[in-house]
Amino acid sequence: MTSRRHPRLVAYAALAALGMLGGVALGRPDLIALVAPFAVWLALGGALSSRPRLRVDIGLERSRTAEGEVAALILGLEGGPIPWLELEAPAPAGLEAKTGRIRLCLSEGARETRRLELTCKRWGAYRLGPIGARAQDPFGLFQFSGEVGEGVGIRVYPSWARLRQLVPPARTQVFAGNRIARQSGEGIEFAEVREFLPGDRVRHINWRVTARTGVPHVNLLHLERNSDVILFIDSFTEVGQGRDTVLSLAVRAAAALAEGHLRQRDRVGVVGFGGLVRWLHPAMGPRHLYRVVEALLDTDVVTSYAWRDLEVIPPRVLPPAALVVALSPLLDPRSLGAMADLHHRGFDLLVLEIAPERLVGSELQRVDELALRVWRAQRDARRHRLQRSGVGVVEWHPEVPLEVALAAAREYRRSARPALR
Amino acid sequence: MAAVGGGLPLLWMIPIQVAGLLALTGAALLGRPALVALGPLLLGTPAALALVQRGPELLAVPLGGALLLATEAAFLAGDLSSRGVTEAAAIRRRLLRVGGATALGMGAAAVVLIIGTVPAEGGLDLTLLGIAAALGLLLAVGWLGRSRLRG
Repeated sequence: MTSRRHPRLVAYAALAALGMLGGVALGRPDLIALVAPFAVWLALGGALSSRPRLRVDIGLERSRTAEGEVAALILGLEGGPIPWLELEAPAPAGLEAKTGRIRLCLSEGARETRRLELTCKRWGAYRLGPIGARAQDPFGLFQFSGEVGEGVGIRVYPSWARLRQLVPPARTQVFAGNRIARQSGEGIEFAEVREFLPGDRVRHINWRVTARTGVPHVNLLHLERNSDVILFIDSFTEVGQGRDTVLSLAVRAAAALAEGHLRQRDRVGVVGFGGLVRWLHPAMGPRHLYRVVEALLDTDVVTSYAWRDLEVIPPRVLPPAALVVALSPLLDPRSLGAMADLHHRGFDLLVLEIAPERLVGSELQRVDELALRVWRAQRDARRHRLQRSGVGVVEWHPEVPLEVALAAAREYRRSARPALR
Repeated sequence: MAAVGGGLPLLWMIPIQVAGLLALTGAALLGRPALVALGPLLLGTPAALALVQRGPELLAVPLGGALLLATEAAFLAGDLSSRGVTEAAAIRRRLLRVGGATALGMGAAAVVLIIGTVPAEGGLDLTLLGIAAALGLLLAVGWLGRSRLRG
């Protein structure tokens, strides 16, 4: 910690010296008596002053928490004597110090613990510490300030609403799952009745139809398969401030979709497409949800002018016939190009367009009306370009639940079945 | 009724001073910094009034103490101005420090007055003593500041 004079030292010294010299010059001992307490303070401070020793061990009550919850930082304090010690909670953007700073005194050789609480406002991976400390010597003539302790990492998971209905993929894969495949085979859902063929199992004979027609018939059943779902997050641009930004909403929506699809035994993968391209191979199972969420935490906007395309993504990350759900505000032409490329490669693409107008809020008032109209027109043009090429684009306004947008997507796909290649 | 200096009744001054001391003691024991400001006000006001009206020099003693308390209260208020939680033990310790130093300072002031009011022909010449004390204080503070800032 660095030390510096407290304003008290200069003020008291000046006052004491002035009073003494004034008293001597004017021959008034009462002036000297007036400043005597300040002189005594300085003398005591000089005699008892010492450099404080302080060691702070920073720990966390839980290293993983969720948005909206309170994270507790546990501080192990050792050292002293420090009659006045201020410790300030580190508060990176996204976390808010609930208690602000704490002021305490630490006795010589004491070992104490203190708790600093932080409200997790936004998902993300944060590093807490070192923490700011400010101490005073016993008479407050000097103050010592600096950063103490080793930082610790905390991961704040996004909060999401549980989705009851998802957008069903157009095609299924070969693994068993909860989705009804178009192909017939061993399953539960009835598909159709056909005449018995050599090799058919006797238990599948439909006795009613067989008795009516006199020819053996069997029931055909739909296979139950899973599907591959790739969550494609456009992280080229960010709009909004605080908790609700385009990227925050995209991540929360992606987490909700991942949880829903993994519940359906689908394989889920993630592609963060922006200045920095990140991906997670598709997999299934409850544990994979945590891998997806961990991957989503690292999603951030990284400014880059490099032109990105799908070539940088390994082929195994984008399995054939996968449903690709793209979460994008349609603000960057590079992500638009990647989406068009996905569509041309035959992926079942659904674009959830996150409407950014509400997120800019008061900034919109300051923007020239003409510029605002141009901005909207550009987004409209991009949306129409995608729709013209056969991509399902659904606008999601952040003030309405994600399920509303998914219902619109289901309706769109029911009425305009995407061409399957 | 006996009057102090320009006519402030002594009977009024004593309870006011006692109330000031009680306020400071209460603030120290309860850990309530809001009460600190009341102490210097009650202690200092009558003494300042009397001194301005050419009252007895003895009033410089409580006035000096009150000035120190008021200054310390201002520093404490400054330290508490930012948002946060202050433990009562820290406040208590700080107020006890202020109270102790003030008492010692007022004792020193009384000693200075006793020495200063001794007749010149039979007592000490304060001129040299005062100059030496003031210069010594400045040098001590300067040396202290340098050594601490280096350390």
